[in-house]
Amino acid sequence: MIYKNLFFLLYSFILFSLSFSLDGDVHDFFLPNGLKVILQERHGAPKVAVSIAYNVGSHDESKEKRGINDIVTKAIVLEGTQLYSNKKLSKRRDEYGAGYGDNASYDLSLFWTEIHIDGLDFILDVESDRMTGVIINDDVLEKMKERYSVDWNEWKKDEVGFAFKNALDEFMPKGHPYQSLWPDPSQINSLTTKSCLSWYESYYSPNNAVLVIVGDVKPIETTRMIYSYFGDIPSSDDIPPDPSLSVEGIELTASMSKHSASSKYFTFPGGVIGSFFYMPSAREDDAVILKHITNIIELSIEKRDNLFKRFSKNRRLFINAEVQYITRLGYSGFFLYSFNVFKTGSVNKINKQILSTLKYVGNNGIEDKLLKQYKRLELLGEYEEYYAYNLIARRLIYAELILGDYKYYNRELEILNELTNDDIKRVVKKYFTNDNRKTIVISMNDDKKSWYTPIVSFVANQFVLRLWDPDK
Amino acid sequence: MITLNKIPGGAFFIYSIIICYLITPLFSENLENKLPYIEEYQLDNGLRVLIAPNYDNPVVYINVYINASTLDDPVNHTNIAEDAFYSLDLGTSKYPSEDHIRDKLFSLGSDDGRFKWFYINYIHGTIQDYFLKKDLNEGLELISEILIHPTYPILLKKFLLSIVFHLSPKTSLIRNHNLLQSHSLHQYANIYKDILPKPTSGKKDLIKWHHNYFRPENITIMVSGDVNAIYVKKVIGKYFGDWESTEYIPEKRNYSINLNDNTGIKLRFINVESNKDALISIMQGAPRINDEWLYAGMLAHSIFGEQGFSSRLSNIHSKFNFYGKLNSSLKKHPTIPYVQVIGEAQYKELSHLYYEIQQEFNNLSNNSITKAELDRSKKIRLHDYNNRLHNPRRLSTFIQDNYNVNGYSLDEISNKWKYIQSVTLEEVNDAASIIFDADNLMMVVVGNKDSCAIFLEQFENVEYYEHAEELRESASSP
Amino acid sequence: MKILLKYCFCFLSFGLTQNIGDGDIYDNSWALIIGINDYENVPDLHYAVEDALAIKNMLINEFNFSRNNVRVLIDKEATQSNINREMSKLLKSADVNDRVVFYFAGHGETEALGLEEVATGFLMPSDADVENLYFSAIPMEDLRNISKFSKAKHMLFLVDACYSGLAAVNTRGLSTNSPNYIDKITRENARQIITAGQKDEKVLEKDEWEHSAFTKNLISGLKDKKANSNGDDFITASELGFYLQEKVSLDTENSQTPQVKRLTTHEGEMIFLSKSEKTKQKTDDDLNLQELVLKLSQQLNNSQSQIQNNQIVIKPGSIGLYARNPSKEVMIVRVFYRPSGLAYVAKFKLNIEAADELSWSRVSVIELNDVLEIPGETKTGIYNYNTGIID
Repeated sequence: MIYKNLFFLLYSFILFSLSFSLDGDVHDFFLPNGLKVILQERHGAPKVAVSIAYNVGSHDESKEKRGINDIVTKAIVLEGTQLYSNKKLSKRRDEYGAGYGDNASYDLSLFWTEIHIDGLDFILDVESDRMTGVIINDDVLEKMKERYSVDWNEWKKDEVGFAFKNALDEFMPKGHPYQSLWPDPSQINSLTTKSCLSWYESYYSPNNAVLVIVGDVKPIETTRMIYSYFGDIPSSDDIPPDPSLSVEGIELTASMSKHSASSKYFTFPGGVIGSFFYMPSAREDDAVILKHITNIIELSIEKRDNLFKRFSKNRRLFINAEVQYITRLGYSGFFLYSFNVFKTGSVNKINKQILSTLKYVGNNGIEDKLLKQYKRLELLGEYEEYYAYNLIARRLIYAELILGDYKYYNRELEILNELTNDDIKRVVKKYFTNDNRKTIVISMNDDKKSWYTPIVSFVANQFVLRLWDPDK
Repeated sequence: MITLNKIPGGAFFIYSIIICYLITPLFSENLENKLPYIEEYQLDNGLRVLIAPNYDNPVVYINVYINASTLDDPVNHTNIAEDAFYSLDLGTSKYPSEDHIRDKLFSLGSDDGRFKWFYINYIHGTIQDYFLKKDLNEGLELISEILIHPTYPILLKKFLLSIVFHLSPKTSLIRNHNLLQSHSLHQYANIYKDILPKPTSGKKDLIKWHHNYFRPENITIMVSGDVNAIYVKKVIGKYFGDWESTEYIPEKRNYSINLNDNTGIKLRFINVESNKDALISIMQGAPRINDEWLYAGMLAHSIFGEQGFSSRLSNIHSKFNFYGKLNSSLKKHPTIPYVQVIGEAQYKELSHLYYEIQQEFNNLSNNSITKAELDRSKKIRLHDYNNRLHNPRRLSTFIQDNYNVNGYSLDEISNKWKYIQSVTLEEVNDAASIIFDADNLMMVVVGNKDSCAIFLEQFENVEYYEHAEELRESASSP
Repeated sequence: MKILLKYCFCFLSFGLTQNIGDGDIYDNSWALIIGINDYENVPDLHYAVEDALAIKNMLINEFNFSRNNVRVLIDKEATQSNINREMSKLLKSADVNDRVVFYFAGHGETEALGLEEVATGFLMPSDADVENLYFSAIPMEDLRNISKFSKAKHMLFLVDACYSGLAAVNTRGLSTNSPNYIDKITRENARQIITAGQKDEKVLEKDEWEHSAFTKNLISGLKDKKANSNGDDFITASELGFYLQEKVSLDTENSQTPQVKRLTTHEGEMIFLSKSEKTKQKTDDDLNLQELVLKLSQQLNNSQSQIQNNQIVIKPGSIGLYARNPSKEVMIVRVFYRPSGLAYVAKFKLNIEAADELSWSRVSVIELNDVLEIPGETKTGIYNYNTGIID
C-alpha cells in the first residue's frame, strides 16, 4: 500500500530538468565601471579559460620608469593579494588541476587561467582581488628588485643570448616608446614604492581592462558572477592614453650592429648574421601576410627545399637559419638569422643573397606546393587549438587590444584562406628593401679560434657539411 | 511500520516531499564523467581497431599502439627493439627513402616531416599523428607502409655514425640521466640493458625482429575525431586486412623484481668525476595492474608526489634553496611496476635531502594521510580524467594505455573514475604503508665520489661503479 | 477521506501536466535546423534556406522554443562536420523530459551499396561529394543512431530532401481512443520521422509558394493549426504527418508523397501546443543577456532609472578631444547608458604605422566630461532618456 502511494508521489513530483546552453555564441558588454567583458561559449569540455588583460605595457613607461610594469606584474603574480597569498592560490589551483600564466609585453599585460568549470567562481574572485588587493610595499619592492637582479645576472652568463638581446635593443629607435623589455638593473633600482603603487592604481583598473571567458559557461549565470565580483570596483580616472608609437620623425639606428660572445655549449667557433626589417603595425593586413610569409620561410628551412637552398646558396653561405616575426601595435619586425660553424660568414655575401632571394620571391612568388603545404599545416594548427581555450581567449584579447576589436580574432585564418601568390609578391616587394634593413653580426667563441681554424672551417664547410646536414 | 492510516494529512505531504528530495539525486548523475562512444572490433589477422567519433573539428587522430618494447630485446642484443623501430621510417616499398617519407608527411601538414609521436620505450611502441579529415586515407596508408613494408635500408649516415661511435671515447657518449635510469632499472629488476648505445644492427636481424614483433596481433589502432565508422573500417580493411602474421609467436621474457621484504636499503653509487651536483634515484615497488589496491596505491602516490604545490614532495623541496629538480612518478607496467623519486641536489645538501625523504616515508607509513588530502587527490584525478575525455588526442592516449597496458575493456575504463572515487581513507593509508617503506628500497646515486663521501658513509655494502663501466649481471641478483 | 485526499492530490498533480503549454510537457525544447541552397558540387536549390528560416521562426514564435536552444545552419555553415557536431551537441544537451526537432532542407541522394546493392539514403551537406557519399554525406541511418543515443523524450525528424525515404519501423502509434491516450503519448518516448517523399521521389519547390511543397504545408499545418484533425488543444506528430501526406500529394499532383514513420517501437507522440497568450512576468532566465546586464547595472547602482533631464551629448561617429590631453582625438562610438549617468563608448586616435582608418584604439568607456567638442566639427544632439535616441 505504501509503495503504491510512493509511486503516485514520485510520478507527481518528478518534473525537473538540467538545462544546458548551445555552443559557439559570443557575448560582449561593458560593466558600468568600464570593464569590457567578452564571453565565448564552447561546450566541448567542462572547463573554462579566464583571461584578463590590461591595456598597459612597456610602451607606456617613461624614461624614468623603465621596467616598472614588469615589477608590478611580478608583484601581482608572485606576491599574491590580500585574499589569496601565493601559497593559498597555488594550492587551490592544484585542486582543480588549473593551468595558468602571465605575460607582460610591449603593448599589454595579461593574466590567464584554464580551469575546470567548477573553479570559475574561484578564479573570478582571484582576478577581481588582483584589481584592488595587490600588496605593493617596501618589502615587496625590495624582493622584486633582488629577484630581477639575480635573474639578470644568471641571464648574463649566457653570453650568446645576452649578445642577441643587446643587438635587438639597438634596433629600437632612440626616443621611441618601444625599448628593451629588460632594462639594466640600475633602472629598476631607481623605482620607488610610491611610483609602483601609483602605476598599479592607474592602469590596473576595470576601465583599462578586458575580461575574456571562453568555455563551458552559462552566459546568464556567468554574467551574474562577473557583476558580483567586479561590479563594485571603482574605475580609475587617471589613465593616460597610448603614446605615439610611430617611427616617423625618429632617427632610426645604425645599419649594422656587431657583437661577440663566448658559448659554454659550443666547443668551436661560429657565427650568426641576422637581417632585420621594419614592418608595419599589426593592424595592417600586410602585417598578417608578412607573418604568414615568415612561417612559409620557416617551413622551407625545415624542409630544406628550394627556397632555403636559394637563400643559403645550397648551404654554401650558411648551414642553417631561423626566422621570427614580432607583431606589435606600433610597428613590427622581421628577423632572419643565419648560422655557421667554424666561421662567422661573409656579411656582404649573405645580405646580398638574402635580398636577392626576397627579390626573386617578390617577382615570382612562392612555389604552389609549398604554399599549399603551409596552408594545410596552419589549418591543422588552428584546429588543434580548439581545445586550448586559453589560446582562444588570448586571441580574443589580442584582437581586442591590439587590433581594436575582438571580432578580428580569426583574421589570420581568414587572410590565410584568401592568401595568393599575388599578395605575397606585392607585400615582399613593398617591405623587403635595402632601406628598410638592418644587420646583426654575432661572432661566437672567437677565443677558441686557432691557427688551424681556417683550414678546419674550409674542410667542414666545403665538404663535410655539404654532405651532411646534422639538423635533418 | 508507518501506514497512511496513521499519518495525518499535513504530515503526509511533508513526508512525500522529503522522499522526493531523497530520490532526486538518483536522477542527477554527473554526465561529464561519461566515456564517449567508442566502437571496437578486430580484423581476422588479430589487429584491433577502436573508433571514437568526435565532430568538434574536421581533424582525425591516429594512434597506433605496438605491444612490443625494449624489454623484448634478446639478452645478447640489447638495442635491437629501438633499432628496428627507429628504422621503420627510413624507407618502405612505396616510399624508398627517408626523404620520401618526410615529403609525404610535409604534404599531410607536418611542420618538421616527422610523425608527431614516434617512440619505443620499455612499455610499448607508438606512432601517433593527426591529419585533416580528408587526409585520413593517405595518413593510414603511410602508417601501413611503414609498419608492414619497411625496407631497412643501409644508410651511409648510419655507417659513418657507427665509425664515429667506435672512435669516440665512451665516457663522452653517456649522459648522467642515462646512467641513473639504466642503473635504477637494472638494480630494481632483472633487466640487463647496456648503458652504452650499441652500433646499429644488421638488416637480417632487423627484418627478423620486425616479423616477430611488429605483427597485427600486437597492434591496436585507434582512430578518433571527425570519422565515419563505416569509412574507417573500409580503409583499415584495405591497408591492413591482408597483413599476415608469421606463425611463430615469441614468448615474452620474464623479469623478476629484486625488491622484497628483506631487501633493506640497497645503494649503488656511480662515480662521475666531473659532476657538479649529485643525482639521486629511489625505487620502490608499486601495485600491479591486477592488484586490488591499485587505485589506492595511485592515490597514495598522488598525495606524496603528484599534486603540485600541495604534495608532500613539494613540502620537502621548499626546505632547500637549490633550484634542482625533485619529482616522483609511478610507472604502471604489467610486470615491473615501480615508484621512482628522482632528484638533483648540491653535494652539501644530499644527506639532508635523503633524510627528509626518509622522514616523509615514515610519516606515510603511519596513517598520516588525511581525508582532505584524499578528497583533493580524487578531485584532481577526476578533473584530469574529464580533460582527457573531451580532447580526441588525449582520449586516444588514455584509452590506448588502459586498453593495452592495463588490459582493461572499454567498460572497465569507463568505470575507472568510479573505482578511484570509491577508495577509502583506510585503504589509501594501507597502500601508502606498503609503497613508502623507508627500510626497504633501492637507491642509485651519480656524482663525484669525494664530494659524496660523507653521504656514503652512512651505508653498508655500497655497490660501486665507475662511469662507463659495464653493468655486472651478478650484481643484479638478490 | 484520506484515500480521497490521496487521489485528489494525484489528479491535481496529474492535471498539472495536462494544462497550459508545452512547458508542462517538456522542460526544454531543442531544434537543429538546416537549410542549404548553395552547394559546392551539386546543383543549387532555391528555397531551402527560406524554408529553414521559416521553420526556425515558427518554432520560436509559436511553439515556445527558446532562441538559445534553436541552432540553425545555413548554406556554407552546413558542412558535414558542422552538422555532425551540432547533432552531437544535441545528444549531449537534451535530457529525459525534453523534445528535439531536427529539420533538414536540402539535397538527398541514394546509392546502391554492398553485394546486395541495398539502396542507402544520404543527406547532402553543403560540401558533399556525390562521387563519394560514404565519405562526405550523412547516411540516413545516422538519424536512427542519433535517436537511439539521445535521452530526449520525444524526437521528430522532418526531412525535406529528395529520395529521403528510409528503412524505418512501420509501427502504429496509439489509437486516440486508447484509455489515457494523452497521458500515454506524452509520457512514452517517441522517435518519429516525416520525410518529404518516398525513396525514389524528388521534392518540388515553386516560386508561387516561396517554399517547397513539404515545408509550405508543414507551416500551415502547425502554425495555422490545419493539421489538428480532431479539434483538441494540440497537434501530434502523427496528425501532422497525415496532414502532410494528403496536402503535399495534392499540391504536387501525386508526384510526391510524404512518409510518416517511427524509428523505434516507442508509442509516444511529439506534441505541438500553441504558446500561451497569457503574458507572464519574465524571470531572469527569460531575459536575454543585454536585458540582464541592464537589470544588474541598475541593481548595482541601487536605483531604478529615474526620469532625468535630457542631456546634450556628442553624436556617435563624431570626433572630439580628450580633455586630459587635448592633442588626442576621441571618436564616439555610442552613448553608454548607465543608471549612474551617461558615458561614452569611444576610441582614441593612435599614432602607429598603419593607415588612418586603422589607427583607432579599441573601444573603452570614457566619462562625458572627458570629451571636449571641436568647434565647428563635433556634432552634438540631445539624449532622450525615454527613447534612448539622440535627437
